[in-house]
Amino acid sequence: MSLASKDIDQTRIVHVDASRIDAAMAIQFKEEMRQLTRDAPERVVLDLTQVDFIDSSGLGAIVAAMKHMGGASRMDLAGLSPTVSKVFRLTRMDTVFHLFDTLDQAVNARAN
Amino acid sequence: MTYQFDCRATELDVRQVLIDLRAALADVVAGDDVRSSVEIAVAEGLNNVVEHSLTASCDGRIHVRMGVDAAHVFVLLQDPGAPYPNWALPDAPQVDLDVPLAELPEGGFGWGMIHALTDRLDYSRVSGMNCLKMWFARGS
Repeated sequence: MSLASKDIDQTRIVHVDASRIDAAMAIQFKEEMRQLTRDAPERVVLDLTQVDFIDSSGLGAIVAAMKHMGGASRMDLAGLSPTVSKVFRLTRMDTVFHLFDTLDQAVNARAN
Repeated sequence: MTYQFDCRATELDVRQVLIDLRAALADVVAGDDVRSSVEIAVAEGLNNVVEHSLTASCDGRIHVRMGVDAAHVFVLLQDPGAPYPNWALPDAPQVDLDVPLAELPEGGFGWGMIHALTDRLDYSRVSGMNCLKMWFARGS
């Protein structure tokens, strides 16, 4: 599993290069997210295009990553597969995060 | 069609079972929606076994049996670990998301998803084994 980030204007895109964010690697994911979102600009977009599965541990790790930023930056999610979207809908976490179908849509979205 | 899998109670072993289960489902079930429902609910059920009932220090193995007929996908999760709390099926907890950022929950989602995704759910304890049964309706 690896995370890579790049900044475009006031947005930090964090690309998840893994097909699963699950119990086996949730802690590692959380740790790496803390590193990568340190001193993040006002918006972080988590690019989940490669991810085809998350479980509740993976969801919890994503929530923890957002909480860790303490409201200094917002976190949006992009490229959710149908299964990953389902987990966000079932838990109603789609009301907590802004979800974008593609990374392009997320990058092009105007802040509210 | 019946499929059987078994594994040690570790997160990595569970991951492999889920990958194998997904491949088996792809062979026999046409609908993406029911396939993802089975995958998510079984993942949560297995994670629960690893976390709470059968820890990695035990030699016991988790058995998964999946059956598919015209109406349902049926999954049995069996493990020789500690009984589920109160020897009963856990309820879906109430989760409040209308809270400040710092209070958002990071866990407790599993049973809610299992209840929401299954048509029918059953837990029993038989001969020292936990038996969690899930039924998923196919098609609509």
